[in-house]
Amino acid sequence: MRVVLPISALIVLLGFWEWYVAYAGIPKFVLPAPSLIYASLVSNLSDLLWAGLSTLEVTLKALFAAAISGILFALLFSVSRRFEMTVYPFAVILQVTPIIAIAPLVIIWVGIDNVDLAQVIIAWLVAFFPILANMSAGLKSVDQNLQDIFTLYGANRWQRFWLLLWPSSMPYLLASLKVSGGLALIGGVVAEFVAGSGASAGLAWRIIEAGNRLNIEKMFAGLLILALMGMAIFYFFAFLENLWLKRSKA
Amino acid sequence: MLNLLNVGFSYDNTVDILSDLCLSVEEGEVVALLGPSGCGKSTLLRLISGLLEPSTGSISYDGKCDTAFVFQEPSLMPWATVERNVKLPLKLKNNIDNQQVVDALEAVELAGFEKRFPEALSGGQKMRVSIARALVAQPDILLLDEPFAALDEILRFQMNNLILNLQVKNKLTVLFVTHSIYEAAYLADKVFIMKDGMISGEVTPQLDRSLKPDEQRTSIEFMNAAKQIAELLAGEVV
Repeated sequence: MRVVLPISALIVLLGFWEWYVAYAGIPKFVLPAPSLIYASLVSNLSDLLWAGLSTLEVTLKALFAAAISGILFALLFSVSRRFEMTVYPFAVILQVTPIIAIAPLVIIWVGIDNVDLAQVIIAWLVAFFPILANMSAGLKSVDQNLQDIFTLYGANRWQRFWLLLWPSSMPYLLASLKVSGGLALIGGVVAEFVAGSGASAGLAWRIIEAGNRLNIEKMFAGLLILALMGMAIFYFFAFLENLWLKRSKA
Repeated sequence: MLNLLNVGFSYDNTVDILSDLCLSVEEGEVVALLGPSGCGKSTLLRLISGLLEPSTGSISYDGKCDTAFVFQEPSLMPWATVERNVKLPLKLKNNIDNQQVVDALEAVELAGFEKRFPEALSGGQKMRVSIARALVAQPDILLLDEPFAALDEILRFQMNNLILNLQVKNKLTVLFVTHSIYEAAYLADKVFIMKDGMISGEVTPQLDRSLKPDEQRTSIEFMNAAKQIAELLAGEVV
């Protein structure tokens, strides 16, 4: 049901779309029919996939950096309340300031020569906060009785982290990676949009380029690949999350 | 064996949770702590375990004294198997002995459940795992903080008998907090009634342990003990 229902809805939607575009005589530079988008996807597949891989590379690098830094900062928060009180507001500021407004600054500071690094930093900025916030919540939600048992048997810091804090916060971390994976992709795309032709290897640039040439079916094909990449990242972490929960509930 | 002399405790030196409390427990005794909510019963167990330090007074032990704690909730690690949960104290002490794990699981009648995860266990089985975890490090004093409060009456009775058997077999000293007059009268050699952070009364049930469990719970001694406890608690909201 979980697969059949959305696929059925998609087929109905595409059928209606195909019919309506022909029925209403909508020009293809406004809304191309799904069949045209498919044809464009097939003819540009190699170009779009290579561009997609470039965007995916930026996304995964940023997500990895966000995971490492988010976990590290959350751990420091759990050790020092003062450190949390000092740093957390800045993390919130980064989160609430629109990335589209920060991105040009990052590109100027890092330099258009290092546009790849700038893209990773921009994507990291978007992906970092959910991991920090969730991991922090996970570390705080550890069963107090278990904490007491670890104290009672003289656990050292490493044992407490590795045997208790890390597995306890794992569901929180995996949930945040599901969100941050998508956000890192958005951050990567925003960075490519802002960098313009400076980041000409990525999928976002292919979409902009296609838009400039009114090749709307190629825009849609690029968007489709972006969406599929986002879904792949989301479901990969959802799979890991299920695996972890199943292991706990076997 | 265990002596508490003029023990007082307060958080941040504000409200006294315990004040001037004196108590002594002999080796191999089963002691129940009974009293209204907030009278300091759980705090007392935490002080004895060493999880808290007394603000005033002293807690002393004659000889070796390792404590183990069983909480109201089983508090198991959901991501770990029964075996890994029970093994935890030994792992933390860097002293893993698999035979002790086997023995502890056999003692709580959970042999064969080693590879199961807590989610696959019933409430009573989870509590048994929690008790096995407490027993595995071979403690001298077993502390139980309302361990069976969440269990139904039949299961609770079974767990009471399990504790009694384990206590005899392992020569354990047991201190437990309960809100049940009948549980206290059945399990304990001594029942301390607590009020406002102090011991306000003591009852010694003196049941004939050679009788069967059902006979003990219908004996005159049991009824008398329950009556005395109830009288001491009269007027309190337990």
